[in-house]
Amino acid sequence: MAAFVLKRLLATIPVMAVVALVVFLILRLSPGDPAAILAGDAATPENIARIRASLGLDRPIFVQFVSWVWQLANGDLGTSLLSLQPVARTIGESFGPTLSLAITTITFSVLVAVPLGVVAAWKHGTWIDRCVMALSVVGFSVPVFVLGYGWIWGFAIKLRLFPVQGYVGPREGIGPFLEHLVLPTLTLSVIFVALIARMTRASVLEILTEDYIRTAHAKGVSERRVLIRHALRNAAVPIVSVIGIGIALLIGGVVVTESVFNIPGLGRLTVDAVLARDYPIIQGVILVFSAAYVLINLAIDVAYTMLDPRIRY
Amino acid sequence: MHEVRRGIRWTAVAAVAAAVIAAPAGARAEKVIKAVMTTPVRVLDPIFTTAYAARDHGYMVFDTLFAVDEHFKVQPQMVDHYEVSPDKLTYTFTLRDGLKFHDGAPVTSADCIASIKRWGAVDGMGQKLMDFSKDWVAVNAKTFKLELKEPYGLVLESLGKPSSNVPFIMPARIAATDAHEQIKEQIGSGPFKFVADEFRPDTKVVYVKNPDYVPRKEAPSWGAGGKVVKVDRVEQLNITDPQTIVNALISGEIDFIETAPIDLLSVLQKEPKVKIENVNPLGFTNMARMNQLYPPFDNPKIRQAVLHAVNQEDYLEAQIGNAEYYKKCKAMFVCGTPLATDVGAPEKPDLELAKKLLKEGNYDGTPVVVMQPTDIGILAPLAPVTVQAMRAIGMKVDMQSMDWQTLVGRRAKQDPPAQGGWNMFHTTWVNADMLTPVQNLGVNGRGKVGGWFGWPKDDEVEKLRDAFVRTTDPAQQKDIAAKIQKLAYDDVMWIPGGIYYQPSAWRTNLTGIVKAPVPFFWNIDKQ
Repeated sequence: MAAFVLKRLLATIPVMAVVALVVFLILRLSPGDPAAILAGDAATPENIARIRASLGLDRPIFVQFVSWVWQLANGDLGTSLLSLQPVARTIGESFGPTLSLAITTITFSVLVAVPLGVVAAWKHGTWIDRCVMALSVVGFSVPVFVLGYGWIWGFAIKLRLFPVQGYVGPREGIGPFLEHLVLPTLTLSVIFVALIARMTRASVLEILTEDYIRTAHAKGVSERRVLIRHALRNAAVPIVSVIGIGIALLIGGVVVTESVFNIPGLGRLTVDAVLARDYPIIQGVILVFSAAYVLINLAIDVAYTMLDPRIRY
Repeated sequence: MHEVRRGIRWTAVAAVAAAVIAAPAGARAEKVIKAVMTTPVRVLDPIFTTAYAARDHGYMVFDTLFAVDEHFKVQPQMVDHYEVSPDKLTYTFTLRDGLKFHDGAPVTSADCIASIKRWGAVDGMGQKLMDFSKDWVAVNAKTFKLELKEPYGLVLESLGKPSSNVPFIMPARIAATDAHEQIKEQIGSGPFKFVADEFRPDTKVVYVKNPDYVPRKEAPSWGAGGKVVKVDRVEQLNITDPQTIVNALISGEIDFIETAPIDLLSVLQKEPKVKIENVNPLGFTNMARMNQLYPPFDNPKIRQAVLHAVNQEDYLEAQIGNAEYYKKCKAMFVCGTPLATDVGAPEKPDLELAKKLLKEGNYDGTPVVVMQPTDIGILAPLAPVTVQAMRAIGMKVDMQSMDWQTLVGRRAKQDPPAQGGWNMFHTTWVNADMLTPVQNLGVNGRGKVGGWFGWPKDDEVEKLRDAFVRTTDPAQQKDIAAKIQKLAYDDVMWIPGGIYYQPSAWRTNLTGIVKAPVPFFWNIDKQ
């Protein structure tokens, strides 16, 4: 297992190198000029040209790439072209809100969706099953911003139970921290509850037709024990895959939710950086995303071996 | 219901409340204004960039030697008094007592000279002033002189320039930074201090009251007068979603919105604790700009055809849609200001005349590339209005939609439209930047070198602009400005698309909002 993990970790290096090259080239070949953005609306072309030169953006792309790779090799992601803040610090500050929202969303979604999916499978074909599936269709279908505005209108504007917007770090108090995450978590969870519930139902249904389940029933094992110990555990591999993909998606940024609730996460950072053509930030964020995807996939693969002893690497 | 709500509140909130109640008697709650500005501060150097967000940031942190008041008069700000020699070749400025930078160092003549020189390296009005300057001399720590090569009519207007780039005063060591590189420290002598540790670009910028700031005695009037800070802290938050901004104001989570979303005003108007008012008396001007380097707009007849085809009201209705917040205006130097005139402007839109001009210009069906920014709500409707008018007179148009930053990058290209260039774009201006022929980039006639995007070349306009800065007589200046406007309309250097206003909105517990073309946070109190 250790060799497998090490091998996979080493494999991230060429993956990230390719990502770095592609991102760098796409940014340099796409329209938009950071110097013009920096200079502002009233700047003359001469001013823009001088700013471009001062940033080194007038150098050949190859030279710029080598310079950036050298920086990376020295553990430096660079500084923002606009704010002059270090990229690593900027990403670090945005990672906290994103990670917090990802954790609360996945936790809430799993706690709600897995029991729903199991019950739907257990009561297959009944009104309970149909209700769960109908709700999951609704969960897939309702746009996130509609849900977000709905929660805000009801719980923040009318009932005044939760804040409309913003993010408060856990260091400023667990109460305010959670209070600010309730509505965004509810908003994001709806689609994940739908996804995980459907996946759980399908997996458990398949397992419930297996011979060993019939055997367990024949041995007089209780329904509850059959469902949890035998069915759910064996159905867990695809469910874990979906949860892993969910975490990756949440880390990758949920721009709409972050915008509606004004959460300064990675999604907003990415969009703002793209709109401002802040190359170092975009490059840094994409590298972080690619690393996160690789590591989450690795974690999922490791989890498989724990859930299913037949899987070996 | 109230009890139920209270019951399900987080216990931590109660703990916080208890802590507040238990605070020592006499402790005063900190007064904090939470504001959402039109655009977030990303670049912190108001000389390096002309971005309005940086200018607004500059007014918080830095101070100016002079400032324009609401009567368009230039008033001393950091300067205590000044003298002009009889031959108008020497200006002597003496600073007020007690001026200190945020690091505790006194403001000196050397700081002022270094700051003005840095500003003069990039700003159009500053460059003009520098062209006329022979030398800047520090007489002593508080007094310095400007020696001119010849009389210059806009010395005080330049030093009191209200909008980008504003000649802010910074310590000489910071002002020594090349004007094309950003400064690394935010040390000014302004009424607020920048809190570097809490700065989060695109998210939040925080200022605290500068306790050492010595305000002038006069009442605040635009950027002039006493900058009395009545709150402890200003937090400018970047909330990107307009509905969320409005919801946050209604719920009291923020106190002030610089530009309330026009299409959500009806929601805010129903809120008794929210006040909506336009605090920028000058407003904003729409501009349609053509590229004069390439066909078909290298032909003045075809430019005139477009000028006569468009209707300001169409722009304003598409953009604002509420006559309370717009007005038609033919003056290139802003209606209601000293240099305003209608001279040279078409009486009204005339499609027949436009078609005739197009024919006289031998328009050959060359497609016109119009860049349309889709991501800025206030700009997005302008291009389709012009496109519709051009099509109505028989022009072929290729409207290309893009984000504003792509447009900004592309408009700097002097390549032909077929090779990544362009024929036309639209923008809007803060009217404080349009008041004189020197500030107003629309009437810059320097062409490909030294001109503004679109690059009209008009030597006669340039001669008049030079004459404008040489005269010190306001009547002559007005006469020259009228001549420039006439030529600018004849040449169609740009097409004015009317003036619009973007009202601000704030909680009624805020008082003392200064009405000005720039959002200021001094004089505001919070109950």
